[in-house]
Amino acid sequence: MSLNKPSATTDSRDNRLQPRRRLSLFLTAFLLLFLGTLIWPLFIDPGTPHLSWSRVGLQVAICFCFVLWWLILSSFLKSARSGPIQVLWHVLLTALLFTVLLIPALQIPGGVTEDLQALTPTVHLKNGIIGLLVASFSFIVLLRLRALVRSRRQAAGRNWSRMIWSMVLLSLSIRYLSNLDFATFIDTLKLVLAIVLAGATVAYIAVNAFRVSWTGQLRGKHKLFAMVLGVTLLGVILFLLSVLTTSLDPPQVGTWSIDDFPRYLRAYSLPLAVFSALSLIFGFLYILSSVLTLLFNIPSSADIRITVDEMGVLDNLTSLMKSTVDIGEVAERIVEQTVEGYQASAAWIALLDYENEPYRPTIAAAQNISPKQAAAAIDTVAFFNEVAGTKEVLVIQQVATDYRSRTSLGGGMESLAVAPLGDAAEVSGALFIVRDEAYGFEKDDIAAIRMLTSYSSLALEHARLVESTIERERLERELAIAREVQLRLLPRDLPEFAQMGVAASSSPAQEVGGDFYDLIKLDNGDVAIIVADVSGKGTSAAFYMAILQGIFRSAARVTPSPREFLIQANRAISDCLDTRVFVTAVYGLIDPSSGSLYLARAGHCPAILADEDGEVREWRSSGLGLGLNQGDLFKDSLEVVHHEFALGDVIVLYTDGLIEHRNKDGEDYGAERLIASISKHRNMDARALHDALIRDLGIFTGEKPSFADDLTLLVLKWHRPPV
Amino acid sequence: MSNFSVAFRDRTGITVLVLHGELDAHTAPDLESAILKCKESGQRNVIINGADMEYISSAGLGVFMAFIEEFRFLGGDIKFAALQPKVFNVFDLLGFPLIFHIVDSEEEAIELFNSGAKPT
Repeated sequence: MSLNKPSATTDSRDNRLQPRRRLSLFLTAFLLLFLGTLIWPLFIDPGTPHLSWSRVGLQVAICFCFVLWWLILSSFLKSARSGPIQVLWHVLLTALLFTVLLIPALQIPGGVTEDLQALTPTVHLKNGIIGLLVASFSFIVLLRLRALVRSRRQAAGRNWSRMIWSMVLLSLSIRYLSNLDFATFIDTLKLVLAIVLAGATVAYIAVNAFRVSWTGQLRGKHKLFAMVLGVTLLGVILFLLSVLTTSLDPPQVGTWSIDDFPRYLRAYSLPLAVFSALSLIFGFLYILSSVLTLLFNIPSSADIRITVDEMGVLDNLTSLMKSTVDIGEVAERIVEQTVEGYQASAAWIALLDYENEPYRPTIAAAQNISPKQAAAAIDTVAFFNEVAGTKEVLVIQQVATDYRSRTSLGGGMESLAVAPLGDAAEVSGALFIVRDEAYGFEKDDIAAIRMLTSYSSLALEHARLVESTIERERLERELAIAREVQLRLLPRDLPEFAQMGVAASSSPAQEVGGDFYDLIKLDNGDVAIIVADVSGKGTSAAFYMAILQGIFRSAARVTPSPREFLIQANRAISDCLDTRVFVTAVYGLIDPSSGSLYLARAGHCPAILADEDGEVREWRSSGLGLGLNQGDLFKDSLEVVHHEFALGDVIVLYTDGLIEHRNKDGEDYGAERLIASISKHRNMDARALHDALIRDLGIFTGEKPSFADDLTLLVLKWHRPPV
Repeated sequence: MSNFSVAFRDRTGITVLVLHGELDAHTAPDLESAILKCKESGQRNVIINGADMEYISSAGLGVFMAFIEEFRFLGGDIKFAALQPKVFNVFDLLGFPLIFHIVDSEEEAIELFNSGAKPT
């Protein structure tokens, strides 16, 4: 697995990406090349000029050989611990080892002349071994210090690479930029080039020498120890450096002195000698600035930059809340900002997927890595569950060793921080931050990440709230449309009759409901009337109500008699009802010319009749609800009642919502109260009576009824004797 | 919030579900899972004891309709005992007495099970 966007410092990372086999191949190639560089000089005539093919070829081979050596060392040192004490200790040990190994190397017999020509063939071996020792030492100094320079600063990688490159270029070109004859144009150009290269090298060495932010995290004993190590190192490097840059005397044959090694080194390869000197200069300056910073406790500019970067990210997240409401986009921006401001080589966010149960964390956004790669790299669920439990930032300093990381971990993923996202009550996601060095997260990093995640959580929560508001508004709009459609299924204006007045109303408990009433004039002048109630409330009931309207409007015209109609309706609606849903209905057929009423009840609340004698009674005929039985039971139980209207007769049809309305004490309105209310207002005409009944109910329930069901009321008043 | 509960009581081969509180659209799923449990454990003779059931809505009634056909097909039945008058009124209006055995006491219901009487 590799990261999407390679960082500026690919030198050693590329190396890491290769399997172990590549490394042993490198090692073999290096050994063969190195051996070659020892043997090759034997075939070069001492009088050959510097710029001859054979000498240049040898130098190219040496350079290539040491590039390989650099890559090999870099790969070995990659996983070394990068704590400041370890680094300084490591460098010091290397310096001592180097000095110890230099002594026997210098005792190899043979010497070189003033112009570095070998006096005996064994000198080439001596040159090579000293070259290898010095190069190894300076490489190790650079590679180890790199961990300190890049500590907490991703951008430092760029300056670091530039420094190395300028050092390499200066080393390679030094022979051709020295001993210039200023009279020629070409040499003037060379001078300019030399000044530019030297200037760049000095500048980059200076820039990198002050990247000492790691000094800030050392306290007490560690600080003192680092200073002691640093001062010792300064002494050793200063000694080597002074030898390397000043010793010009030709070595005495037969004796040896530590002062001699630069000659052999130069005899082996001038570029290598220059590069080593530059490395040691950098090492000296870097350790010097570190020691001074430790001594005076000076906050480094990098620390200030980090704080500024981190504050910038928090600021961006705050303004993000004002501009973006899409959760996915907010997550994208968070990971983008994390990589930018928190020295991460990659970052991603996993959020709980609230759409599908059980809720599982899924990767919502990823930066410098594809969501697929991120999911494959580590066990997202396991890490999420851990931080969801602890609600604390979890740091894995060596990802590869954690049991929750997968085998295919690759470049750029050395240490990992997992931070919980969400509020105090619930963790709803996690932010994953990876760095490309082991032990990449320090104490104040974790504090900064905590700050980052609290801002991120806020931004995500805000987006989620806005999103749910939008979703709710969308649902409300949909329901408003459904309500409008349902209202259109109810008669807008009831037909008017000379013989009777009719008033009706229906109000669903929610936006839509399962109550239904209708009244149509048939072709023969009869009037069919229905009040029905689908069990349950809400959308499902509303669909059945719509079916019922269709059945009434079509079947009542074909089979208008109550018995026939209800049998038809039972058959038709049973086919499409869920087993736990049923419909109750009361259906009547009125002949306005004769004033006769035939009425049947299918499981519905009984109709109430207030007749001419002043009696108010329920018409409790037998009858099963629709959809309860599809066989003979329904037919056999269905009873039709007959009534001849007299002047002032009132029929009230309603649904159970009316009598099941409760007041604040939890008391039902009940049929008795309804009957009493009818008796009281029975002299009013249909509309006024209807309104009075509703008003009485309102008085009973108070302003806020504690129980609300769909409510339908239909009042019919006979006000003219039959013709 | 819910003031509805179902208790199980075993009466030699018959499971009695003692319902307590208000059975409405919100609490109907509780009853449904209780009856499902009977079904899954192979118990198809069920008595609903409604002595403490104070209210039933159409959604509650729907639960019985959902199971009755299957229980009867498998040779069992659901019978009701000791319903409060107000709840019985709802059953009665809907015509449930035509479909179900609704009796005054649990003992009566057990006797009906033992005699093998089938509702109409």
